[in-house]
Amino acid sequence: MNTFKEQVDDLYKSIVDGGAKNYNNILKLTSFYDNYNKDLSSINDENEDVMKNLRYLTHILYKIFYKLAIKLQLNPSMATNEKEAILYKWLRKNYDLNFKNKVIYYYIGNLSNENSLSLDCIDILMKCIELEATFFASKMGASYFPNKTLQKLIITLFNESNDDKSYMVTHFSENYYQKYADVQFYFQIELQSLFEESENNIKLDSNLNAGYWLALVNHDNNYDDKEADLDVYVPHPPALMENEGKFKTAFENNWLNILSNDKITNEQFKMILTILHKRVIPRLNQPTKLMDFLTDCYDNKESDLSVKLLALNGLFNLMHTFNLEYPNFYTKLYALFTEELLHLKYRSRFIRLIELFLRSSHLSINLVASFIKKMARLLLTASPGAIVSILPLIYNLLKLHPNCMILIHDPEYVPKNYELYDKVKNIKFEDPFDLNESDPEITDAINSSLWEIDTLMSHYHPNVASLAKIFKQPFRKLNYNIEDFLDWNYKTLLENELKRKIKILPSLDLDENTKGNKLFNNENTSEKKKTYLNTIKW
Amino acid sequence: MAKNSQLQRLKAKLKENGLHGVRYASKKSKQKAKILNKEDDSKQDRIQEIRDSMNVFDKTSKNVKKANILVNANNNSQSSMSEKRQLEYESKLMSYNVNKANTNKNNTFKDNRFGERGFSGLSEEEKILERYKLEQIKQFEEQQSEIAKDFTLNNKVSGRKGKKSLYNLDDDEDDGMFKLTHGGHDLFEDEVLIEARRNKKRSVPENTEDEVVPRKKTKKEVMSEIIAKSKQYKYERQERQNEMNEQIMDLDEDFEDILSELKSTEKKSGKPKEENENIKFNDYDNKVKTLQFDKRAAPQDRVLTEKELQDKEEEEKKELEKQRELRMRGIFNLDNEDDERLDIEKLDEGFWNDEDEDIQEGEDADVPDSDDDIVFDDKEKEKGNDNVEDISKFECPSTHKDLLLLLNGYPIAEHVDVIKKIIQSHQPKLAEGNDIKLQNLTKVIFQHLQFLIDTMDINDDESVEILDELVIIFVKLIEKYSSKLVDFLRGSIQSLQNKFEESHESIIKPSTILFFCLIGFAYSTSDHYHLIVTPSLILINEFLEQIQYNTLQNVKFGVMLLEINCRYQTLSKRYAPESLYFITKAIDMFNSKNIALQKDSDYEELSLRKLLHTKKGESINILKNLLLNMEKSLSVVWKEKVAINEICDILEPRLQKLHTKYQTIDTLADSIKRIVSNIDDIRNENLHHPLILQNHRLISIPLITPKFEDNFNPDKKYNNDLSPQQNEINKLKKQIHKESKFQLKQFRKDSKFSQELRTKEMISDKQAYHEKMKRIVNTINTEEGSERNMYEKEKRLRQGKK
Repeated sequence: MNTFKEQVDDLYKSIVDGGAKNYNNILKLTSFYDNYNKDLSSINDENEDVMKNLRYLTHILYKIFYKLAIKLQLNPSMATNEKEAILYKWLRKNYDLNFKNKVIYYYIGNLSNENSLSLDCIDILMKCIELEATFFASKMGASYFPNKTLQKLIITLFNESNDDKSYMVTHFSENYYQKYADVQFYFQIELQSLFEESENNIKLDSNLNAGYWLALVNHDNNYDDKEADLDVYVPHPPALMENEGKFKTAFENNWLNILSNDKITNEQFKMILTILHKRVIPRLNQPTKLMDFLTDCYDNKESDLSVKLLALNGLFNLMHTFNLEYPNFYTKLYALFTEELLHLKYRSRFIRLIELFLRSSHLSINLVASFIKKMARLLLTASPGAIVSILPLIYNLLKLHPNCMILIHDPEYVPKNYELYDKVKNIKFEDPFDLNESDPEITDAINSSLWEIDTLMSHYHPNVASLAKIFKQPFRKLNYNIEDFLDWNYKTLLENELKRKIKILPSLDLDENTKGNKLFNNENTSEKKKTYLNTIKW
Repeated sequence: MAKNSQLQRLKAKLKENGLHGVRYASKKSKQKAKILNKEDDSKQDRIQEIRDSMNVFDKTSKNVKKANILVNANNNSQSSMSEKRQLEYESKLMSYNVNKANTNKNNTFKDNRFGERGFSGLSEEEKILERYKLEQIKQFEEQQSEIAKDFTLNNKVSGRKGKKSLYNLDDDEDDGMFKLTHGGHDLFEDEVLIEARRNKKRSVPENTEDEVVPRKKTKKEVMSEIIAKSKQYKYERQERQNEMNEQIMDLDEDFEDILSELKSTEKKSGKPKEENENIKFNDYDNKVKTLQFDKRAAPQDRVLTEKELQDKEEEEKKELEKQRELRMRGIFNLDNEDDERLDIEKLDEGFWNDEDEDIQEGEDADVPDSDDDIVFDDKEKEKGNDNVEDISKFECPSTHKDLLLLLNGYPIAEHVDVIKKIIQSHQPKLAEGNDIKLQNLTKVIFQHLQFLIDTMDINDDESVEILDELVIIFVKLIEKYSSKLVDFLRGSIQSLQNKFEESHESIIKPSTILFFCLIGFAYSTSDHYHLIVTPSLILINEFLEQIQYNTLQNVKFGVMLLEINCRYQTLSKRYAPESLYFITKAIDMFNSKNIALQKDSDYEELSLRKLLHTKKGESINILKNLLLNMEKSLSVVWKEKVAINEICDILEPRLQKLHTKYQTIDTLADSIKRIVSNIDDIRNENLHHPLILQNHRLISIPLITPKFEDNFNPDKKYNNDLSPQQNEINKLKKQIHKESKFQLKQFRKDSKFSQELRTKEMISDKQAYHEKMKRIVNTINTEEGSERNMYEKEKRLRQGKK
């Protein structure tokens, strides 16, 4: 029996060599698919034979159509006589329906598992776009972009389905979207028009779509970036492509559409917020349109603390570059200082911003003192990484606002100042700081003191302890560069420790008085020997 | 036409004064000139005047501004430069001459006696006479004063006042002071003598006149008084001496008798003694020689009493404690003086690497002692002998796998014995390389312990004892090989971290807890910095902070970590924020979740083996443990912190919440209440004064007050930067500089001058010499010439005769 490949090869030869009379064999070729389409689940990477055959078949079909296109037989407008026109129209119909619709879109859209065939189909479709752009224009060399084909691809990709098609989107994004300016341009335009269409081929409330969208736009090689290095995909792109404003509008609309999607997952949401200030806001026509979105994220009491932090970043960007008015900024900022704050992943990003916000020398001491005191309080439960990044910040703030020095040094309590000290010597000091007050102007933190920092001077990590001791020394340093301290975490600390050379050998301490003579208590023995740990047993 | 040239002007001036252009051609005029010569003085004056007026360069006019007007008035403001120079030159010349005359004449002896110094036109005889007279006068004066003194003292001292000779050396009444004399004279009395000589015409008794009047004692009198007293003492002493001499004489007389008695006994024993000594003397040298090579006797270690032993132990403990405290404060270098320092030195040179370590190990292995033995209690040894076969059979397992294979053949109960046998058969002293094998074994036992605790059956209570014993073995081994295990333990820490990064759940195992326990048990956890403890601490706290405490099992794990973390800090009291964080998280969990805590169960310690088999009913036990550990942290570590109030602020609301939630369970409610009241106590005690971290020594800032000049003159230059004192100092400095410069110049000038003179002298000397030689040669030549002439004459004469 002839193998599949031989059959296909025979048909291919007959079509290419035999001329128009054998064109009916194209139908034979497409009918091969029917055998496989009966059971879609069998089309996956494990069935190597099937995949091989399908891939080969598709490839051959493309080759045939490419040959036809070169002969201009796919473009009816090129027909010289009526007979030809009928043939060309038939061929074109075949190409559009039998090949593109039935094969390519079908396989892109309907295969549920991740497989290589779909990826191949995308590649071939993109080749088709190139082919169409070259040969389907009204006349040879005319500028043309087959936006309908692209639109169809978008629909297939973004169409609602339960299958995760992100691998295809990533493939498309990496190989075409991020490389070609015209693809980007038409993609955005088409997507926008699709969103606007009343019959709505694309359902917005799909959590997958946001993911696809992110996979497409989360990069730095955009159409409107000055330094971006982009090619043009089609040979003769239309002049319309130069219209940057149009792209921006489309891009902006698409973003807003995506953001209004309420099925967006938390992860995606955070992802969007992290890239917002760098990759989105600068590319929008009217960035202020994001204002509502951001303020909502920031003000919403129910939203996650990390969402707030991230929204703050974008919000600041808007305030900074677009003069956004934001009332009660510092009060809301102060509200962010909750117990979890220093345990979040986005800690360093936040600390950077805080440093920026509090750098102004026009802030009132009450406000600055409140922030300092609150940060110090949070340090009591913070990780060494957080402590190490906050302490220099406090140092800088004290240096910037010398009035706040009273937080670490109250002259009234210096024993040498006999007159003052004798009065307060035996009186218990009541801390006036109100931790629960939400307005940083009236917490009365300036009359408190930073005992927390003194406690940190006996931190278990020797380096952290010595960093805390900078507050004991004269304030000679101008300020600390916060960036140097932001990247510490347990891992880097540990690496640092383990990298240390063995200078002094580790000392043993086997003193029975302090350590006991046994590790744990025995389960059954009633007599209590001195043990190392009291609440654990074997 | 202006006469510009100096010469022209001079001529004109001379003509004006009639000194120029006159020619005394005739004799008459010569006579006239003679007459004129009488007016020479005036003429000379005039010439001088003209010369002065013409020679501008020879004059200096003083700076009028600076000079005092009065001084100016007196002095001729215009002094001749040449005159000055002349004077200077002369003075210089004189000093030069004097110096020259004095050269090579140092250390001359100057006789300062009367008539020897300075001018005295006296002959030798007269000198002697004068000296005699002076002596007489002096003696008389002394006598007079002596008499007067006697009167005033009312004859207190019956002084014998014999004649006092000035040169009498035997005189007892010497002042007692040593005086420099020359020729019997006090060197310093010359002046007195001269004075006396001048006054020699005065009547002698004049001196006594004022001494008749009663007066205060002169110094001299006081001195003589003292002398008199000392004389008396001296006399008494002499008396005593005499007495003693007499007694001695008496004794001496008796001595003869004693001696005679002694002689009779001595003769008996005398001879044999001498013989012995002779023999001894012969042997002596040999003995000394042999003894020299003998080992010196050293005192043996004394057997100590029990109390002394205790004291010694205590001393050692104290020493260890002291070292630990130093380490706690971060002072390392004082630990083990020599070894440590050596290590540090090596470090400084950057020589510390693996090779070095290997060498060290090798050295250690070369000289193993029985001190290196790892000794267990005897009882167990005996027990072991029965069950386990011959010890020589065992190979020391180098990996954990080997050990498992080895132990497979024995019942669990004998495992410990097997391991002990292995250790005994590989004591370092028995064979080379055993040391390293035992090191490996330490690692293997460490791994085995972790392996056992992870795989052990939960209900297998008996094998627990094995664990205990293994821990003891491990501790014993680590005591010896702790330094060599550093890399191994650090590697384990790293692998724990890697596992944790991969999956947070993967490290929630009993072995993790055991790992930290063993480290804490063996190492000194109070150190400021410790190679193993510090990374372990980081790891413990990382776990405490990053693990999600949403299940009972995780909380249990956290509670165990919490206790270890607190235990590490029992001595050093360091603060770990993560402990507090964990406690808040854990309490929050108990507050929020609806955990079945209905029935009240007894408190039970957490079981390490059952870590992964958490039952629901255990939650109350975990909560109790949590509270217990929290209380401990509170009392051990946090209590001492300044921010204890703030820590309590974080805890208290949560505890209250917990209290309200679990009111029904009595034991829990009680312990919560206890903690809350504890917190209240601590708060009440704490004065909580604000910090004074910047209490540094005050640094003075230079205070600059404005200075007002009363009569400010804008033209004058003011130096406002300097204080008046500084100004003065600067002025003086300047002056010194100027003067020293001037002086140097002067010195150079002088030396140049003297040099010139010397060269001149030398030249003249040489010239004189040459001239002299010339003259001599000339005379010789002339003499020879005349002689030759004579000879020629004679010759000619003789020839002529012929």
